[in-house]
Amino acid sequence: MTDDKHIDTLDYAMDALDEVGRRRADQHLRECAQCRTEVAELQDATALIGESTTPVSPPPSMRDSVLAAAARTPQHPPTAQGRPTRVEPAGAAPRRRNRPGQWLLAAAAALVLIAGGVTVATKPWQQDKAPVSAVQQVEQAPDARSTTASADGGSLVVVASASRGKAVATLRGMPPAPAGKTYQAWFISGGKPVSAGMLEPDKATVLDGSVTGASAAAITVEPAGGSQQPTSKPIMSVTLT
Amino acid sequence: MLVTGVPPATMDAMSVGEAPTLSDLLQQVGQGDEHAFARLYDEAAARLHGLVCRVVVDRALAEEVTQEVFLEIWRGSPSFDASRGSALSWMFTIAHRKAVDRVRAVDASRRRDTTYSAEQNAPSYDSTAELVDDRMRADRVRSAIGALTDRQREAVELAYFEGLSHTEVADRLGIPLGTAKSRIRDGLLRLRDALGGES
Ligand SMILES: [Zn+2]
Repeated sequence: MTDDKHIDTLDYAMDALDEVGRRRADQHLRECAQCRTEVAELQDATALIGESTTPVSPPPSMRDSVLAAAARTPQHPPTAQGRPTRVEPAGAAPRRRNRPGQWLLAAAAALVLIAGGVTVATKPWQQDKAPVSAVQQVEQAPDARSTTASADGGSLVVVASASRGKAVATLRGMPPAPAGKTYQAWFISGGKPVSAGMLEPDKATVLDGSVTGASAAAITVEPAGGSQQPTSKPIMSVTLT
Repeated sequence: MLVTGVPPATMDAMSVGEAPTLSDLLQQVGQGDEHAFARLYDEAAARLHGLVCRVVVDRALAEEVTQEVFLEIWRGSPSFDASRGSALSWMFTIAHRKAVDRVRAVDASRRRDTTYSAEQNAPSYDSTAELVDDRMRADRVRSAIGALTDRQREAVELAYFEGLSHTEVADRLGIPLGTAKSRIRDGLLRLRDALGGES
């Protein structure tokens, strides 16, 4: 539509607007479902023209630089125009509130601070190592801080970087998790444990999630595959602030 | 052993033995999954770079743009909504915008020659980067484009590969504004209808 009230959806879909025009159009699109629909239709078609181009393999070195750049770049929150933000499935919410206060108390009781180690968590499906660069990004950050807790002859080392928003954890001197069990890491944020992924002994792992706002990190032994909430008391934990 | 018993939400399409779709991967990336991002890169890099090379002729510049495209995919992936369109379409939209913006920003001499000359510039590519399915789909896309009238195709490709407004297309082709506009719009909608619903 080209009348004053609406935007030129064709030029928008062709990326033919200059920056000012595009910003104005984006603003209109947030409020106008009609233009949004038109743009979406046209963009489906323009993408097809993109697909018609002959693939060109980028130089192999690009892969590493892209992955390294991503590892140190935070993602935008989901806000794109017209796209609903992600909503928890109904019924998911009540599950998380299983008396975090009590759990925290247990965590504190189990906490034995010593000096020195680092631990890491892997995503359950991640069979291979986290990209080395991701671990290094955290460990080599100028503001990286290492904290260690020990218990039962083993230790947990957490290196956290506030500027990167990430932490690397390593379990040292620990036996493999018992059959059917796994080590799982947790961030304590706002008094509640939030899963930070699985750990294997002696493998530095970038913890899932952001270290920002987390007051502590803890390790529990969980059924293989991990739990959504801790089902046992922490074996070790470190304070992050 | 770590694989068993994981909540379905976490395992999702990454289950052993089941190849994730681009859409699955992109959604994983949206959760901050760097591993999925690496896989997404492997699946999509040659295709997106192909488009970028077509728009940005200078190879070094094109490589810069493609890197930016992937970083933008990484950053923006939390907003990708599979119910609103295909992952490929979402990524091509980002790639096109970045490429066109860059061409517009650099000096005019680096811009591709204004005489429209598409095919002879087709870059070489490594055929191993392309999966058989992709090639079949790409063939269908090409034949759908071939089914446009010559005039539609000329106007659509001119607008798309050079990021021109329909006013500029009209100037370039020496045709009335309304004509340029309807050629582009009709061409696009025809194209979409030819392949609609399968992307
Ligand atoms: Zn409108």
